[in-house]
Amino acid sequence: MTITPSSHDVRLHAIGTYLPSTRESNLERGAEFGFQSDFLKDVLGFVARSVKESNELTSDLCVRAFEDLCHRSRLKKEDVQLVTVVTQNPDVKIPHTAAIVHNKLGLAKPCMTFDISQGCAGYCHAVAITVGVMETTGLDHAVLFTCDPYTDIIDEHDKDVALLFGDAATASYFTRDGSGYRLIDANFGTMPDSHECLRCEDLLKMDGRAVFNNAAKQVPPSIIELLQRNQMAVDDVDRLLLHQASKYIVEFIRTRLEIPPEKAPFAAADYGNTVSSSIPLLLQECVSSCEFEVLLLSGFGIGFSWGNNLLKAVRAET
Amino acid sequence: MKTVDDIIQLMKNAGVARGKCDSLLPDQSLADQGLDSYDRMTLLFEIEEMLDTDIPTSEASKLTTLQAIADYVNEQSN
Repeated sequence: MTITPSSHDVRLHAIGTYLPSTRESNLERGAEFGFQSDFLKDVLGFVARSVKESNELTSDLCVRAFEDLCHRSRLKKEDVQLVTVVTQNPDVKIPHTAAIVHNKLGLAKPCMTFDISQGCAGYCHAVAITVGVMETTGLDHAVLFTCDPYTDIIDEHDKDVALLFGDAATASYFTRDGSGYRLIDANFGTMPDSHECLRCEDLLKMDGRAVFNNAAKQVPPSIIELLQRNQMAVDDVDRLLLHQASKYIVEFIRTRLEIPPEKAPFAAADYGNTVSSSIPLLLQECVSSCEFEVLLLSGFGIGFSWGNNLLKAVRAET
Repeated sequence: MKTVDDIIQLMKNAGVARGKCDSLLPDQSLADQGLDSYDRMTLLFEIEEMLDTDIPTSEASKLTTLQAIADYVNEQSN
């Protein structure tokens, strides 16, 4: 595959992240539910979960991720033309959290703001939307936030969900200069009659078997379909960054696709399933080093929906 | 006609309950014999793939032993 991007193509240039420093140990809580430590380490995969402060809001976590982004790039606040926040845990119902983040950061007036209501597939949806908006409207600088702090919607006595989720935020900077990754193609899906598999009115409820079955049945073929329509095979992908739903699900999908472990890492043992932030947390290092040629991102979960992004490196001219 | 041994072989091929398969008793609850929730989900998933059908939650909740699973597979295959 040879792709020669124009020097002005939109690319993902840098990612800032924020993981709250507080950790809650699953090894201690797991014993209350009768889980063996081997199960927590080797199957569920989450030894600890990151937990935000009780008074921290989604917008606060986004601001912390933006601060990290500013350390990692030359982004100037006055240049930001688009802010979008992937979340299903907004600060308030109205206004949208992106407008609150815009205000807290003191961004400029000519700036589009909107939220994207998506879950674990949210980052892949938002990358496609962000690139699409930038290419359609000619924007040069956009910041895509992810933040779904589940701490506030988890029943700590519900063993189906109590040990899964961690709090985090990320900020992805899309621009038209410098090194980074360009979106080559993407595909998406939503499984009919499966919207109840993860549901929250006051507290999150999960049908674990339905989530697992949909992930196992829908995700591997959707990845193959995306690769095939780009005349690529699994071996052409340098890194497959899967949503870190659990170690078991990551391993299951990786094995189905016959990908070696080092190409499809599980790296969330210390902080948990961070929903839409799980992929950009993994992606940060890849974007920073730009060492891999082809990346494939795959998010899946709430809906039950899924999305895949095929990315190719763009290296800055020297 | 599928036997309990066939179900155990299916589990081995799918990497379910690694290290425990050969000691499983047919009429004892799989949960009581140390299978975790992911083992159970994967086993049911493999059965669904083999039968090319979805196992409803109401049926899945009854499939708690190897014998019950073998009986279910044979019923569905007839």
